[in-house]
Amino acid sequence: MNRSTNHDPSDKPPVFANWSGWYVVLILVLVVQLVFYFFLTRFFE
Amino acid sequence: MTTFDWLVLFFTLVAIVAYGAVKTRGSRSMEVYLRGDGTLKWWMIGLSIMATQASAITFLSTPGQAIEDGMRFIQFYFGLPLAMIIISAFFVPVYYRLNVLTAYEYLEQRFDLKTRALTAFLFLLLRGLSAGITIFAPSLVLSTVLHWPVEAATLLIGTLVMIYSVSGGSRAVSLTQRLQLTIVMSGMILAGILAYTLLPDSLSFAETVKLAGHLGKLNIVNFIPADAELHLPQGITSVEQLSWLQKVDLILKDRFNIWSGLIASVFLFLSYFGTDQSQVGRYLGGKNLTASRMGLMFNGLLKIPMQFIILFIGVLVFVFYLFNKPPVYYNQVLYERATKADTAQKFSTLEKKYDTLFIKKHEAVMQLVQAIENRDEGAIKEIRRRVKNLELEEKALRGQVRLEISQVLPNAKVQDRDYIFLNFALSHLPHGVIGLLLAVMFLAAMSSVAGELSALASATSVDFYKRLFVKNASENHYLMASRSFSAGWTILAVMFAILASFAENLIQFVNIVGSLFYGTILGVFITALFIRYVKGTAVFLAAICAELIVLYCYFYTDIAFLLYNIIGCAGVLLFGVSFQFIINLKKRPAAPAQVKI
Repeated sequence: MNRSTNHDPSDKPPVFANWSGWYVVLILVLVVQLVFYFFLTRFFE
Repeated sequence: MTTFDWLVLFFTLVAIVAYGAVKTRGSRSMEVYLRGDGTLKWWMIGLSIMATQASAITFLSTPGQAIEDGMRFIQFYFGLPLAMIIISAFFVPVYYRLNVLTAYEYLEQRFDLKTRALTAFLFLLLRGLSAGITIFAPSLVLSTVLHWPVEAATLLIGTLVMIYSVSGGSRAVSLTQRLQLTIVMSGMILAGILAYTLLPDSLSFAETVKLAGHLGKLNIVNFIPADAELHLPQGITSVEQLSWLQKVDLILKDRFNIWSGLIASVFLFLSYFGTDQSQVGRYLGGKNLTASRMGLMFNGLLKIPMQFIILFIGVLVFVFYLFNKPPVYYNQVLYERATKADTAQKFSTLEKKYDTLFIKKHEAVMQLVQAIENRDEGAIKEIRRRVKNLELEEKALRGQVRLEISQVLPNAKVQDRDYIFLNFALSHLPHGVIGLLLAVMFLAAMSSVAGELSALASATSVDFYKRLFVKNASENHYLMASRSFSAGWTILAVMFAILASFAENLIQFVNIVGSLFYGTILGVFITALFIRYVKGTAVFLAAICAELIVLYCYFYTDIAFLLYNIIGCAGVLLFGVSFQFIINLKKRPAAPAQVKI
């Protein structure tokens, strides 16, 4: 198996450019969850 | 357990093992055996990553943890999405670019052989221990239900895993994991739904949540430790009186709060997902770099909700036990053994006290439900205090029962938190579902341990056997060697599981063992990626010094275990730069002597 054909050899870290959208989505989902959990804690204590 | 439960359990296990073994026969090279054939799609990688991390310990222990301690454990996972982003941006591209089979291969390319060997050795030690514990947890389940010795259950799990993982390698592990995790989560969600349907009809979902919240089970986000009031310094009567420094001190000693979750956990997860071969091996089996990254994003998105679901199932069981009397001791097999002894009279007296206590608590809970329905805040506050006091009495009584059992059976492990969920399932869920939930525990153990054993075989084959001992043998030789290592590690893990006894809480024990080494290993990788100035010898010595400091903290201080990751990592970075500076000073050629005129 030659894995070198499976990916783009030009990939070099850091690669925020193509992935920044995904990273922002992940952080936003985390923030939404934190707010939701904070609400659950405070509202029902 | 009825015949139907046995059939469900038997066919689920056989089907998964047969699928894994048949679907992945005939690996032709070590590379394909250890990494897979590079065809895994992103969602398969995501499931494989999650299945490797979530062991049977997760599903056995976590609901019980929610029942006793509330949902604050979820904070531990808050740092995971952040770690996924960092790994996706910096770690995975390097592994792909260098086309490595194990994470430790990269360290030789960046530093030297001894650094690679040290980190690979630490990994083998850590994962070897962990794999044993991962097998041991569900063995407790089996031994309890079947009245078998723990050893028999341990051997059964080890054998099932060996059947498909030794023959099919990494691909067999990944393919079975997607089915295993699907069945595991479906089984758990079904158990949660059934637990909810068992609650009194008059109780709405909102009231159920409110009831749990009023009794402190939805304490998900803690800015200062949930039990801070119990650890106040002398002369201080409330948390508000604490100075800023005193609050930080309490936070540093606390296991789960938002700060440790968002800061210290990031380091643990960076180390686990970025440098631990059991996870690196999962995403390096991907179709391409994008698939591996998407798999990590998938994990980052779903892990916290998954833990939330498991903890919330525990909360539903807690509410169920407010209306239905739970046993005074959850490990029924051990309890029966203890009550058969000469001191049975003591247990009978304690049980009578417990019955009276439950009746009082039940009455108070009914009043609390009424107050919640009437939205009477004053009454809610007063009754809640009463229920909590009764809960404290109940806790003390359970402690007394444990003490009595430990006196009657001195060698028995009396901690019963890990039996709470299982006991509920066996006593209150319908037949068929019981068999399914037992299968869930087996599958979770198998999926997790298979990922670990596959990685142990990879590191042994690639980082030690092929690199140091037999350098130029045929592909077939290395394939056979990899299979032998896979079988060998399974046998070692089973032996360790047989020797192991469980700590206060299994899941925390595994994490503590992990934290002793993870910080140091992470420090080595971060140095490799970001501090080009530091070379092999400096980082090697730095890793040893940092590990000694972590061990000192563990044995001689009461710092929370999650912080060991930061200490180990920071230690390697600081020592690494310092040692490199000293080495460079020594290497620097002496300045030409000045000639006096």
